[in-house]
Amino acid sequence: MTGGLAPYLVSVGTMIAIYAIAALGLNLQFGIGGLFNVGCTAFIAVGAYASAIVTGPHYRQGLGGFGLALPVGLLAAAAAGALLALLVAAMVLRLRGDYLAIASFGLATAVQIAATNAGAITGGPGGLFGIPLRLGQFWPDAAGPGAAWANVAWLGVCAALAAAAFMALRRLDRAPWGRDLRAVSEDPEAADAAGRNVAAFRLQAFVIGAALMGVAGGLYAHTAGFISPQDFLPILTFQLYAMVIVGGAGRHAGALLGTAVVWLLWSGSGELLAAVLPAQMQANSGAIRVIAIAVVMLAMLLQRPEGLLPERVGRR
Amino acid sequence: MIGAVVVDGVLIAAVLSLASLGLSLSYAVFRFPNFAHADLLTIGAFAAWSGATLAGGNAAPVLSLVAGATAALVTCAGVILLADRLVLRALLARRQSASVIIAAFAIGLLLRNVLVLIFGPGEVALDRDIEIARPVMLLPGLSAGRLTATESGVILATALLLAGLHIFLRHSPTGRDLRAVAEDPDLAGLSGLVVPRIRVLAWGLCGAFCAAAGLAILMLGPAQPETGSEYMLPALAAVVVGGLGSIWGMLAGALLIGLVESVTVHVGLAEWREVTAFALVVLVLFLRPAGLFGRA
Repeated sequence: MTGGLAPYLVSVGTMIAIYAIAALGLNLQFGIGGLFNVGCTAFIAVGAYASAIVTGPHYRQGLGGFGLALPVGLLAAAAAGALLALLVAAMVLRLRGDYLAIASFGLATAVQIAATNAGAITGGPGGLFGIPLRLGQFWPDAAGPGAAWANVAWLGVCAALAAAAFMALRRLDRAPWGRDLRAVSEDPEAADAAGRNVAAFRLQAFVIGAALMGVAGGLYAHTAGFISPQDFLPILTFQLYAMVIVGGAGRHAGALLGTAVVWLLWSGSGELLAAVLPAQMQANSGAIRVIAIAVVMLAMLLQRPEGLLPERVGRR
Repeated sequence: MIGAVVVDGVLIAAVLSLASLGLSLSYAVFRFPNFAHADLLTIGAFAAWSGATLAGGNAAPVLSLVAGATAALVTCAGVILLADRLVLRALLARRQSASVIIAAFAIGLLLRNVLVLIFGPGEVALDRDIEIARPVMLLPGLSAGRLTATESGVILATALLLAGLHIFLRHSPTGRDLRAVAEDPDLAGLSGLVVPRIRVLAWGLCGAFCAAAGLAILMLGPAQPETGSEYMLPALAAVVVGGLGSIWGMLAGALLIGLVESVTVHVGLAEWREVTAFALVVLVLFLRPAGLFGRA
């Protein structure tokens, strides 16, 4: 299948579902928990590498050859994200907002440098090639004429996981746990005085959010079939913030809507620029898209900081 | 070996101090880490390159140096003042540090990609003669590293600029006003209300040091649109390690990071040097959040 609207929509939908999982994780950390994590790419990257390594064949360079099943890979991705979060939590979670931003920014840089230089594990700057694609392990026809349906099935898997994350988070949020987390984020001293363990709530929100980012990273690895350190640049973190903020920080549905809007804008502007820009300017299309998303973000922060779906006060 | 490590460390620290000073200053006055700072450094380097090249480059070395410095100064100060006027001022007044930091990220990405549109994604470099690095005598008997004339000039200029800033902040009435805003914790919540004169002065100085840093970076090697971002983590580290709002603390932080980076490079782990900066930040934030020289 080449060209046509349906395959395009399937691939856009898959990316939206994957980003939505990461955005839901960030919304839990930042929108609800008030944890200003600027290093989302660190958690997405370890998830992507974990799933690629656990499920992968022997790579030309890098750790591989375990060949485990896809669900094991995604579990490993979640575990890798959670583990990295646990590792750094002791050091960064008690920091105030701007310090947490600096520390997590540093973490993302450190993970990217580690991915580039620890070639024995990550394949180095060249990355890992030949990661099992989509449902390839269970869908032998994936490369043949059934490929279109394999892609649809993969969209189904990603969308189901995003929906599951959405439902689970909404449930958690409506439970006493969510109320307490919001209280901890809005007024830690009062929550502490009311007997809530502030540190424990922050840790839980941070780790759950990081696990979701890890899963998103794993799904991305199996969608692309190839990952390298260049896939985890700070722009990715910025896109996630754009999604959470455009949708409305603090609302799970906002994170979903924001993901769809921002990704459609990103992907649609790419298609548009490919169609209208003269050939010699095509190389600039990446830069123009980043400028566009940055301008949208600034306008949103200035004009409608509460997002498209504002957080409801009182009833949730 | 030790002499070479120290000399290289001092050179890294000199450029890093220039690169960190504006960050330290704006953090102290406006109370947020300006993540657009990295791209302001890059703009300084590209503006300096444009100015120097238009003025004739290697054919007229003095004129092109002056033109480069002027272009960098005007562009850096203009860009950051414009960003403050259009975006940061309004967000700072709302006193939500997260949206200010995210906006700074957006501004940085915007600036970086505008540079890509104008200059392309590749490198720019000054067209210059090859220089010979001469040995530096640190102390009698201590075998020392080597510096080119340009490298020595950058270190000397950094020392002069820092001394000048020190005299300005200590002894001029305007400088004292700026310090009062920067050092008074009671004003922490009022950063949106910084009076216009101090605002313009703080961003202007920030832009001026970004221009100096950009010029220094360009004189020592090529620049590309990502150049500034390579300085962001070490600069944040210098500011945090030294203690917010303390220029001498920042200088000590820059020296420490310069030496640590120099050691990292000399033991053959050059690619990991940003990780050492990150490790230092986390260690200091964990053990002594006020920084090594900040007031607890």
